[in-house]
Amino acid sequence: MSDSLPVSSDLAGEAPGDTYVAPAFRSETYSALVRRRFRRSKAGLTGAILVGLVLLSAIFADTLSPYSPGARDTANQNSPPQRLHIDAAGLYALPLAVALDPVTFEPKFAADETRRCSLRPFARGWSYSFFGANLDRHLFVVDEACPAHLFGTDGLGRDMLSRILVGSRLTLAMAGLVVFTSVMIGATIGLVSGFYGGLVDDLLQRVTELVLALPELPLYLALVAVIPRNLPPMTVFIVLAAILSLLRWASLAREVRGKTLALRGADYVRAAEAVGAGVPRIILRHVLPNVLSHVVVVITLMVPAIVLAESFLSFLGIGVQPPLVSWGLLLNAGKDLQNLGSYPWMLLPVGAIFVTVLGFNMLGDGLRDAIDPHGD
Amino acid sequence: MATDIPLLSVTDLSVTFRLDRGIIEAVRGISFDLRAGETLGLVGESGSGKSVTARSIMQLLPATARIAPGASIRFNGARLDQMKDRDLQRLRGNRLSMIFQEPMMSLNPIYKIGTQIAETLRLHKGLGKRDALDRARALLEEVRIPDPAERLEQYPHQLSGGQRQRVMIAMAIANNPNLLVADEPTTALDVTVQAEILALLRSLQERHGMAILLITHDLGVVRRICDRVCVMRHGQLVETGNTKTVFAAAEHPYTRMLIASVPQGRPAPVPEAAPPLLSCENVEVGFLLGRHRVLKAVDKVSLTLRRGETLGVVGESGSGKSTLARALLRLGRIDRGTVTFGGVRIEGLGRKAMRPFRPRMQVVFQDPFASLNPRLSVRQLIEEGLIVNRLGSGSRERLGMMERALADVGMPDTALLRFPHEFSGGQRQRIAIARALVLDPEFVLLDEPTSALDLSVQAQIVELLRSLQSRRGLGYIFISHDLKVVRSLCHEIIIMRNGIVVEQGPCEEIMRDPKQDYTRRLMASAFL
Repeated sequence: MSDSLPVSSDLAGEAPGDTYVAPAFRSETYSALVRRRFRRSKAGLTGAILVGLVLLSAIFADTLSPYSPGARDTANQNSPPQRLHIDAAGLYALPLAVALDPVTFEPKFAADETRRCSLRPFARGWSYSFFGANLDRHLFVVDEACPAHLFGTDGLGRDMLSRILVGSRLTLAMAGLVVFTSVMIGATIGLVSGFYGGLVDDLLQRVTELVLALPELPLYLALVAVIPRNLPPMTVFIVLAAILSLLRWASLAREVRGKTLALRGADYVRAAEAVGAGVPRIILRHVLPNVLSHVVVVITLMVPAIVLAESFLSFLGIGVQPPLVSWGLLLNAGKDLQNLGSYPWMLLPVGAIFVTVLGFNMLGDGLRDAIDPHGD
Repeated sequence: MATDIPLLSVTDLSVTFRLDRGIIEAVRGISFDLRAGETLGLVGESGSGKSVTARSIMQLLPATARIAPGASIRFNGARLDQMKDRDLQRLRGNRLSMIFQEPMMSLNPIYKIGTQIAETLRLHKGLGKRDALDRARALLEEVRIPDPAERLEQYPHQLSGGQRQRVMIAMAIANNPNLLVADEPTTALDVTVQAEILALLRSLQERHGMAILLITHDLGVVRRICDRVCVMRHGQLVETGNTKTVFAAAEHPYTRMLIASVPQGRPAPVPEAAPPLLSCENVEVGFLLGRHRVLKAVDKVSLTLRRGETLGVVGESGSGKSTLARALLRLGRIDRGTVTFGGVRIEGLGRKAMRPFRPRMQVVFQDPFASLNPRLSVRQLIEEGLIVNRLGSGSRERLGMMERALADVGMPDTALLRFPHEFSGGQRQRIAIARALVLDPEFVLLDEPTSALDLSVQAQIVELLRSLQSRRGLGYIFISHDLKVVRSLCHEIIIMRNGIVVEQGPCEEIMRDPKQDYTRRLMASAFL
């Protein structure tokens, strides 16, 4: 708007006989101030980059995946990650040959140096739909006869890399959905409760306390147990999101209420009341924008919590149901000790979860420091 | 008492702060001496660097501050600015102590008063627990706190603001310091308490022969207790001299302006036939304390304000003056009594029914930093009242109205695009006044509109309010504890204490001849 207007000299000093020139300040909106302060935090920026990468790879998951997440490579079940090589002709991986250990019958994998499976960039592969368009271009495509599973395969021979990439969508969609609904519920209840006070506040706060007092884990288990088994997987997903949202809004409602309560007594809110502004206007224009920065931080810190919750529930087998793919569901394959010992690459989704959680937490911390006006 | 060797000698002190947008020079090359037993006043408006100077002497500057090389701060011959932390700790609270503006913030709420005073004694004097408590009791007696033995067992919240400041002073003088640095020690206190604290400081100084460096923005305080005065502005010393000489014949124009900027003049008389604008009868507002106890914040108050008249509501903190004002504007509760505005009874009207009255009755708050929403531009702030009251037919007409209101308060219309934090305190208060004026009100409630501002700005705002009144025939209710400002602005006043009206009548008459004992005490503390 007015980012570069200098302070005109008639505003610089008020006293007569003034020879001192006040330092010129640039006109800066609150958001510009926050942005500037955020850029100073290294951890926050790293978090922002990580989050950006995770989100991008979720959006372009199909394009980035060399294999269709459901496609089975029956010749390569439980195959370990193949190393990526590079030479003048481009990227390639060496196929793995299986040999059974004569004593233990344990499959041993050895790289077959005679063949090279090249990864062809931007070639046509399995077809997918991207925002309604049917596409079949991928970042890399591998020939079916000569496999390159960079993250290995699972027990059915499905490519782990592709499954992790595509699985990120459902996990992040779950987080997005839950955060959106619980922020909507929490912020509305918090604003109403804090602004009106009195009986309304009392009532809403008791409800909030009730929700906060519920033991989360047993309740998840109980609620999920109630969901009929024969529902379509997508419906289960939605119901799961609804359950998570219903349990997560309460703490946000608390925080928003506290903020609102403080702002309710602020002079500028009283000033708005004095010029005759109605309740909706005061809430939307004076209270909400000042609460919003706080909510943004809560959102960024809530996402990792939901990612973890989803992974946890799906890991237990009560979350997302196949054939849908999510990170938690992928981890479910590694839940027995024998699998884990023989096929440690089943734990690779943990890495994805780790990066996401770390990124969002760092971003949230950076944002929180940036929006705090008393940080200096 | 004064000897020739200075106790404290500050030479060429410059302090810079490193901030995002560059380096700010808070103090720029100041030098002064303070002799033993002397009281030196360091006066200046906000941002003049006086507190930074005090903190550099105590070596309590924040991490972003840097003292420029070449400066020296000598105390009893030792260089404070080169001293190690451990030596400084031995000095602070012992030979060199400090009291702060806000006595609530400087006392730890979870320890008893006795424990806190005893701690300094045990730390620096190595006294045993019993001895330290005995000495603490003697100290409380010395700062004239009633029932000192019982106070030792109390917590800070059980004491009044004035008593807390006395406790702070007791802690500061516990080890007979040579120098007491007092940073605005009376600013947060009521006027009558302020006078008592100053008298106490003076008598303690005479008894112990300590030097006092008093940092203040209040020239009245300086005049009352300082031997010499240093006037600071924008980080520089503009004038140093004997208090009497400086007040009688200041050399620097800035000092002259400061001295002259105590609000002068009297309000223009109200026409005889002026119709009543706002009146109330037997208004009561109570707050529930616990289950059955009720605090009567406002108790049976009646008043009448005529068009073009200013009614001053004077009282110390907790007197109920703000509660009364909010009740009159229907921004706060009202339990009993009647309020009539422009001939209509409004005490029973709800939020909706009050709507048509809102543009006619406006309010300007005390703190212009808190009363302007930091997220909105000045244009959005001023326009809000026009939009919600459907005044002005379109954006263009509203812009014209806003420009006129800004011109009325002496601000350029370029201010519209900026945000509140870009303006100084005085300019913000002008914006807040413009926000009220743009609605063309008949009545404006002024809730201590000048008390958060610097002295020179205060005088300008008072001048502005007076001229607006005579141009527009506004009725003001002016809430204040500052009788000097009240005298220059008000026709009638009511003096409130503990929710009750103590005295009520024409301003000049009450100022000249106060009938009540409490009013007399107020006057005595304000005009000394």
